[in-house]
Amino acid sequence: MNYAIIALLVLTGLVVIRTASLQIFSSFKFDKVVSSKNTIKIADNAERGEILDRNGESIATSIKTFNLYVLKPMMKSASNVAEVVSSAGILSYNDVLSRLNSRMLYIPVSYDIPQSAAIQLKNKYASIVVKEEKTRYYINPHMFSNITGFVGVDNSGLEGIEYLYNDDLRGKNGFAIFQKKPNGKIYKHPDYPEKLSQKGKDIVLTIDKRFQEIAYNIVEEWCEKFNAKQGSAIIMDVKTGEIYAMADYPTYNSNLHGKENPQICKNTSVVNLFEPGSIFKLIPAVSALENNAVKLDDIVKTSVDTLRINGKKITDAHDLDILTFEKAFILSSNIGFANIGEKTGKENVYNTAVKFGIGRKTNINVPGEQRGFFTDYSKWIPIHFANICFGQGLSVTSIQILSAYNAIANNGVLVNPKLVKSVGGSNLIKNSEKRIVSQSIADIMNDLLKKVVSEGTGVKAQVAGINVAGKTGTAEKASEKGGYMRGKYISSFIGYFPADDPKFIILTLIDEPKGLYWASEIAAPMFSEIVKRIVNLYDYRYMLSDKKESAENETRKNNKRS
Amino acid sequence: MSNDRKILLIVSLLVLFGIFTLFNASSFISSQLERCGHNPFYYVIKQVEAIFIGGIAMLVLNKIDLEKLKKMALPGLIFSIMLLAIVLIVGKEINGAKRWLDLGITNFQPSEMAEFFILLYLSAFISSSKIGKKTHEKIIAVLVLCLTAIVLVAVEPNLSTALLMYLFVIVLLLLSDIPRGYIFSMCVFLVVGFLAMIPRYAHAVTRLKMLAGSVHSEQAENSILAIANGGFFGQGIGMGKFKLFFIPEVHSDFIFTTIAEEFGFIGCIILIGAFLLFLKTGIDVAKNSYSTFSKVLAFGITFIIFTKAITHIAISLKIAPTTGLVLPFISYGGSAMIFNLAMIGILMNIARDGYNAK
Repeated sequence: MNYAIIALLVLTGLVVIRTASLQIFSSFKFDKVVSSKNTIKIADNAERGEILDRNGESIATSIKTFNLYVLKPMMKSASNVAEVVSSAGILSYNDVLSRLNSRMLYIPVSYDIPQSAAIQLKNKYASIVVKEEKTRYYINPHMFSNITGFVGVDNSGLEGIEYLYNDDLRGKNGFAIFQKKPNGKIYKHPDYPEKLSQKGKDIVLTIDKRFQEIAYNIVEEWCEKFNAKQGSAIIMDVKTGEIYAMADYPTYNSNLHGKENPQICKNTSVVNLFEPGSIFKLIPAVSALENNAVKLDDIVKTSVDTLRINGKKITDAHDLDILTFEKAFILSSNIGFANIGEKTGKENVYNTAVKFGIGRKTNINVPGEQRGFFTDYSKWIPIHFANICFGQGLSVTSIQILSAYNAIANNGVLVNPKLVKSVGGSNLIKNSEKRIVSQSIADIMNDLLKKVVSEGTGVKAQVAGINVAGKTGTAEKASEKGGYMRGKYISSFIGYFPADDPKFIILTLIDEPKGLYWASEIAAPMFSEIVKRIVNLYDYRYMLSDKKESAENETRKNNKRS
Repeated sequence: MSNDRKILLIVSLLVLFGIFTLFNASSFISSQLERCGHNPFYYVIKQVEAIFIGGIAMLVLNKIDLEKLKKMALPGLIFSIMLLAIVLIVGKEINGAKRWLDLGITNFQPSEMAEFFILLYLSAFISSSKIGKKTHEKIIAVLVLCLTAIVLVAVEPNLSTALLMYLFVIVLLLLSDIPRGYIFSMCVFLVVGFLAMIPRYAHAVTRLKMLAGSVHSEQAENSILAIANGGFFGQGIGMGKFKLFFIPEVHSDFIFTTIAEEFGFIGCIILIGAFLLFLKTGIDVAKNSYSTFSKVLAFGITFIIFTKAITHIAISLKIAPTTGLVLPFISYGGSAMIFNLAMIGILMNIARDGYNAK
C-alpha cells in the first residue's frame, strides 16, 4: 500500500516540477512559437492618396480590386494550390508554381483578379486568401501618365509624381492578426490587436484637367498630322509659375504598371534635351540690350548672305536683305545674331543665359530633370559662340527655356515652375521670385515678341481677338556622333497671351515632323490652336476683346488678298 | 468535517469546475462541427446527462448495504465480460477502436464497467476469508476471470486502459496475503506479454516513439506549447488558443492542457492539490474502515481515481505516452463520469460507515 502511494506521490512531484518548469521558467521561450503556430499577421495595405488637379478633379484615384494571396504555412502542397488557382483561370499552372517559390509567408500571387474568380476562391481554401484592396487607378491614363508616373503591382510609385511623393502618397500600412485553425481557415479573434491602415496624403497638382486635355489632344493631333516622332506642350501661369498642362505624345497607359517601353515613360518636357535653335535668340537679344551693345535700329546684317567664322559658313534660312537688330529678331536671322553676339561679348551673353536659368535645373517636381549642356564661355571659340547666339551647340529642356521666356512675360521676374500645389492640404512648395531683367528691357522684348507674331516668323500663331507674343524655333537635330542629322528637325514655339498683360505662357514642340518642318508652319499654328481652345473655356472668355468679330473679318480680307 | 462530507465537497467542486472547463474547451469545436449540430453546448449537455445518471448511482450506492454490494461483484463482472465480448462484435468504431456500445441516446464504454466490477470482485475475494486457506485453483480462477476482462479490453484495442487495469489488479493483490509468487509471476507475465504484444499495436509503438522524441507529435507538442503559454497566471478564462482545433480531443484526453493554458501554474497547483486532498481523505477512509472489504475497496477507489488523474496530467506534460485517458470528474466522457461518481458513492458510504463504527 505504501509503495503504491509513494510511487504516485513521486509521479505527482514530477508533474508539478514539469508544470513549473514550463509555466514559470520557460514560458517566455515559447512565446514566439506559440504565436507563429496559431496566429498569422496579415498586412492591411494602405490606400494611396489621390492625385487631384487644381480644381479638385481626380487624376489618380483608387478602386477596389480583388487580390489573391497565398498563405504559405497553410499550404499543403504547391501543386494543389497551383491547380486550384489555374483552374479559376487567373494564371497558368506554371506561373502560379513559380510565384509560390517565394520565401515570403504571405505571397501576393495575382492582383486584380476577375470578380467571378474571386467569388470562386474566396473563403474556400485555407491557404488561398482573396483580399479586397484598394488599387491605384488612373482616370485618363494616357493623358496624364507623363506627369503622374505609375505604380508597380505592389502599389509603390515608380515614376513621376508617384515616385517623387511616394512617401506622402503611400500612407501607413496597418495589420491584422488572425487566429489560425490547424485545419486551415483563419478568422478574426477579438483578442488580437488590429492596426488599421492610414490612407496616404492627397496631392493637388497645379494642373488643370481642362488645359491638359486641350494640350494633349492638340499634341496628339499634330503628331499624327505631321507623322512626328514625338510632341509636347506646356501651359504655365505667367505670374505664379504654376503648370496648367504638360502634355506628351506618345505616352503610355499608366494603369499597366509600367509594362510598356520605358523610353516613353518619361516626362519629355523635363527630361529630354534638345538644341533650342532660334528660340534661344532671346538670350543674346536681352544681353545686347542690357549691355547697350546694340541698339534696336542698328544694322546687324548687310546684304551679304553668308558669314564665315573659323572657316565655317553661317547662313540664314531665307535670303534676307539688310537687317536691323529688331528685324533680325523678328525674322530670326542667324547671321544677324552672330553679329549681335560678337558686339555684346561672350561673357555678357553667358551671364545673361545663366541669369535666365540656362544650364540649371528649374527644380520642378519631376524626377530625372536634366540641367542641359551649356559650357562655360571660356571654352567658347568664335564659331562656337556664334552658334550659341542662334541656339546651337547647347542643349536645354523645354521647361528650362519656357521658364526663361516667362521672365520676359512676367515683366523681368523669374519664377520657378511648379507642378504640385499642395501635399496633404499643406503647401510645401517653395516659391522663388527673382527680378533678373529690368522692366524697360522686358517691355522692349515683349514688343519684339509681339512683332514676331504680327509681322515675323510667327504670324501663324495669331489668334483672332487676342494679342499674342512669341518666338519660333526650328532646330536641326544634333546627332550623337557630332554634326547634324539631315532632315531631322525640332520645331518649337514659345508664346504667351494676352500679350499686354500675360496670363499664360505656352511651349509647343514637335520632334521630327515629316514633310513640313518650319516652326512657323507647325509649332506656331499649334500654339494658336491651343490658345483658341483655352479662350473658348468659359472662365477665360473675358480675354477675348470685343474686336474679335472685326479681327476675323480682317483676316478673311487678308486671305483674299493673298 | 467528516470524511464523507469532505469527499462530497471536493468531488462536487471538481464536477462543477469540470462542467465550466468543458464548456470552455469544447464550445468552439462543437459550434464548428457538423456532427455536433453546431451547438456550443453539445458536449456540456451530454456531460450533464451523465452527471445526472452518475449522481443517482452515487446516491443509491451511498445508502446501499455493503454486504449486498459484495454479492453483486461476481455477476457484475461476468456481465461486464459479456459486454466486452459484445462490443468487439457490434461495437461502434471511433478512431479505429471498438470501445463503445451505441445505446441510442449515448455511447457506453463497457471497459469502465469492467474496471468497476474487477475492483468490487477483487475486494470481495481478498476480504472473503484468509487467503492462506484458499486453494491455488481458486486463486487462479479469480485471476483468469480478471485477466479475461483485461485481455478483452486490450484487443479492442485499448492498451492503456488494459495496462492500468492490470496495474490496479497487482496493487490490490498486494493488499492481500496471497502468495507473493503470484504477484511476481503477474509482473513477469506483464513484461513478457507487453514485449511480445507491443509490435502488434502499431499506434502504441508510434506513441512510445513520440514520447522518446523520435517521432513528431503535433498533439503533444501543441499541448506543451499551450501549457507553457499559460504562464504563471494563465491566459484568462476562455482565452486559451490551443483548444481551437490545435489539440485533438482537447475536451477529453487533453482537458488539462486547456486548464493549464487558461488558469496558469496557479490553476494547475490548485487542481493537483484538490486531487492530493482527495487522495489523503480516501486513504484516511480506508484506514478508518472496519472491514477488510471496505478497506481494500476504499483504497482501490482512491488509488484508481488518483492514478487516472495524475496519469492524464502526465500525458499532457509529455511525461507519459499519449493515450486516451480522461481526467476524472472534468473531462468529457459519460461512462467514466457515471462509474467515477458511483465509486464516490461507495467511498462516501464506507467513510460514513467507518465514522459510525467509531
